[in-house]
Amino acid sequence: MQPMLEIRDLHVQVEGKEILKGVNLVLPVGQVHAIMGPNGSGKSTLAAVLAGREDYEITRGEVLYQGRSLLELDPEERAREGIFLAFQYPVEIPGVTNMYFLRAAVNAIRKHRGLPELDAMDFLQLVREKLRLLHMDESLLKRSVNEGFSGGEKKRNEILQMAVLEPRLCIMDETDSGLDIDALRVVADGVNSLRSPDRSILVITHYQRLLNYIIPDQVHVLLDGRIVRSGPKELALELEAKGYGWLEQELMTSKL
Amino acid sequence: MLDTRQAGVNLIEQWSAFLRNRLTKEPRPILSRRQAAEAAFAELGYPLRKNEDWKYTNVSLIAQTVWQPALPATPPPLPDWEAVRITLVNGYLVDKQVPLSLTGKIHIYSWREACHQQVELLDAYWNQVARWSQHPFAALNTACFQDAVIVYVLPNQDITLPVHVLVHHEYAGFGAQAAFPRILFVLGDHSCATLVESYSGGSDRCFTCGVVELILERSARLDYYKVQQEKEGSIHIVQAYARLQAQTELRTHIVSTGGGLVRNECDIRLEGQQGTCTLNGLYLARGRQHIDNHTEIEHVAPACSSHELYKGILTNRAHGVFHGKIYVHPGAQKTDAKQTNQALLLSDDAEVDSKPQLEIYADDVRCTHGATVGQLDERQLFYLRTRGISYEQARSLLIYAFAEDIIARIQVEPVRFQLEDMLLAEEGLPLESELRRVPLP
Repeated sequence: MQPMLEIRDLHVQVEGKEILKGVNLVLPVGQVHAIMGPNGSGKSTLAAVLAGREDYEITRGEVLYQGRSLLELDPEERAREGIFLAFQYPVEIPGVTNMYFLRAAVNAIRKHRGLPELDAMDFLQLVREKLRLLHMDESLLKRSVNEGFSGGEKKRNEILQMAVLEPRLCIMDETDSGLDIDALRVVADGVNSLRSPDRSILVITHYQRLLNYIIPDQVHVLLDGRIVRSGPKELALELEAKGYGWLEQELMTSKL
Repeated sequence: MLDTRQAGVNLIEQWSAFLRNRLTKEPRPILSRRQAAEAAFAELGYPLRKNEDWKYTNVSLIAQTVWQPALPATPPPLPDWEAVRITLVNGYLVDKQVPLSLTGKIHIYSWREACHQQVELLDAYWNQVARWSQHPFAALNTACFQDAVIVYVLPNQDITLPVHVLVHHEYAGFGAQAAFPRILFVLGDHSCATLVESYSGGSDRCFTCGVVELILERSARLDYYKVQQEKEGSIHIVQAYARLQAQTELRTHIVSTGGGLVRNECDIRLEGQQGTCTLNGLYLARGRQHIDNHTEIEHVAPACSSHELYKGILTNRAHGVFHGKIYVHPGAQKTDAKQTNQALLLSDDAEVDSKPQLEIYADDVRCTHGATVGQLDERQLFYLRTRGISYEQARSLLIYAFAEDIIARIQVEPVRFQLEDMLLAEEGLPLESELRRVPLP
């Protein structure tokens, strides 16, 4: 079966500096993979490139999404095709209510899929159900997008969008950062409820903590712009115990 | 080089027949004020750019044009929302409609009616706050208008319907024409009302030179809206002057989207203690439009507040100007004045000049000002696009969002809806009523 996502020898420069130096990754349909790595290893760059950020320069390689080349699509086309990026730092948009934003997004995607657009009542029904799931207050819908939200509210709002948009590929960029343990659990529960045989999830994280709640099928370690090791979920525990220094060290010796 | 002062004198000379043959026989004190204004304009002439108040707005085009006074004409169709309706066409009062429920609470007079029956009212209020001795265009209006509307709200009245004044400039089709709309709105003690002025019509051969006087007696409350949507190329210089007595509240909403050369002046004098004014401004300028918002707030009495927020959206080669003066008199302790103006530039060739001017002669005051000029936020655009929203729609949404706080303060629904429609249609956003903060079911 065709994988959900296949990254082949991806090289990316940001402001003239090479950040990704040949990333290879295969994410099968229905699986959850984690990408772990220290600060500066290129995790967020990878997430942004997959979502379509235009100021990053792809110098080599390709990305296939359900067998089709992804890189020439605009960010909105990727979203409509089912890719969702949960941001590490969700952006505040004063002056646009969360409700309007969510519905505009849902309808853009529904339109693309040939489905009728939802009116305000239908949409509210849909979103209420998802709100309960994420222990979110309905009043968040009336507020401007992410404006004045706490760290936890922002992350939950990302998962809410994910739940409402029903993507096929979810990319979660450090969704655990800045969350206390209770919020982490709520977010993880939300993500777990979205696990399904036809949806794949890429969890990008610095710490193993989140992976106690969202159990991955596979773990990849990103170091200095390359995936240096892949393994089962236990790899995350090993990293937690030994730190990234251990792998760096090992890589150095193997090079010699 | 153009001698603008000479141009002013020339205009007065050209128009001498018009100025000597007034349509209304005016009481002597009124007539003498008009003649004084005429002399003031001849003395001041059209303002030059070396005049600080006109530094960024060049009116030499007005001085170079030979103007004919606009003549009475038929009114355009009126909007259908419920209101006290007043229609001025080319400065002439052509229609007024007061619903039965409000008779006896609000009086509306034409200039002729006021000169014949309401001399005391005129004497007490008319031309008391317009600063015609300093402002050339206020002097020109005061000298030249042939008709006016005078609205008097009796004390202790709550005028629940908006008072809508349609100020329409109908171009006769030949030559260049100038109209001089003149409005006096008096709110008696403890009364409250909403005044909506909308400016329409015009052409690139039309000049609307207006003066609005707003008088708020003790504890009065007024919501004042000015919506300027004249046709492309129209020249619009309209100066609003307000005087606030103790415990009054004035909220102004000045919105400009039309015209070619536009100057909205809003001068407020806080003369009684605990007066408050809130000024909201929004302009949308495109093509080669020039939109100038000039505000001047004078804190004469202590313990008054003025909060001012102006926003501009500019594209193409448009030029925006914001000049905000706050003057705090020596006795005006405990003044609380805040001024903010923000511009959103959507093209490289759009330009905005911003000039705050604070003159403070009291020591126990709080006065702040801030100005920002920015572009659309790339991070916000990207965020919206990653949710499937197209680039164009994301852009419109962010433009709308920039103006949203000003729009949200517009309480008169037809005005707000019209503005929303225009803003969104302008930027190609499919209009959806949900953007209008519809309450959750």
